[in-house]
Amino acid sequence: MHDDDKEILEEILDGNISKYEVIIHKYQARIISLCFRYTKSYPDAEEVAQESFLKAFNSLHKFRFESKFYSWLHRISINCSLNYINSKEKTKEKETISENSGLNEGRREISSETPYNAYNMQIMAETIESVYNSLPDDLKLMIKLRDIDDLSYDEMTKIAKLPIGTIKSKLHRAREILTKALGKYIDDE
Amino acid sequence: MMNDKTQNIKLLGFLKAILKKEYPHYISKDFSSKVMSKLDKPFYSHGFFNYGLRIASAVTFAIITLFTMDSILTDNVKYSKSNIEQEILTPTRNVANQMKKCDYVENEPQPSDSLECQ
Repeated sequence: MHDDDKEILEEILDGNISKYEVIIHKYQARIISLCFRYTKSYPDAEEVAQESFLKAFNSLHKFRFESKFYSWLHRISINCSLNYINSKEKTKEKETISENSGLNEGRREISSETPYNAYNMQIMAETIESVYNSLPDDLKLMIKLRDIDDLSYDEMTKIAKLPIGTIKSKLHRAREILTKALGKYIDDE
Repeated sequence: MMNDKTQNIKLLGFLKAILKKEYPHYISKDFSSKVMSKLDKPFYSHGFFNYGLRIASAVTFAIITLFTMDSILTDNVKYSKSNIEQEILTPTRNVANQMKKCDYVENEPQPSDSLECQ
């Protein structure tokens, strides 16, 4: 199975640790979102996601490239989230026993406000949705096949009935339009 | 400062998350740098060092165990500095066979040299 991340991962395994930041940038949003489904709290979701990335890094030498890296990372994140839930339940039991349990109730509320030092993904999503809907159909199809359905270029050529070069160029153009719209929300660190 | 390629990958990551509708409400701007700051000790790139460390810890553990066991086993036996000279008192007469069961003794006159039933 071809994995887009294989080259980067091999560089990391060769000792170029800084390349791991590319992997984090690529998957942070999806992994935090996955962890949030379990934790129901954004700060906790980030903490669990952080642990997931660290675990994946420390076990990278065990990754055999038999599946996609994201599938492997996804599985690690689910395990970390389940561990988090188990530890949280234990704490909850202790809190129930403790006389001061009422003092900690406030922490469980989910805040919808975006902290100062964070990207507001909701606003970005609204922008992207409108730009995506305004794309020409052929470009929209490229985005759908590659970025939403995760198809390979070979599979895309069969569906779109276009040569691979044309597909790559159309996909590049579509992505450029979308990332340009997204770029104004992302400041350079 | 992030280079253009990394910035583009970050944008594509966000884009893909949004298109797949797998995005959180917000993401801390320093999320990646927080993770990267904890990656200072890669386990796999120091295989030889790790191997040596494991052997050293095993040897240390063995030495400590030996010392502990040695001190526990030898401390309980305290040898006297002088010879112990004591007379051993041996019984001059075997008295065990002369004892009678109390059931029979009660109604019989007791000989003078027999032991009393208690």
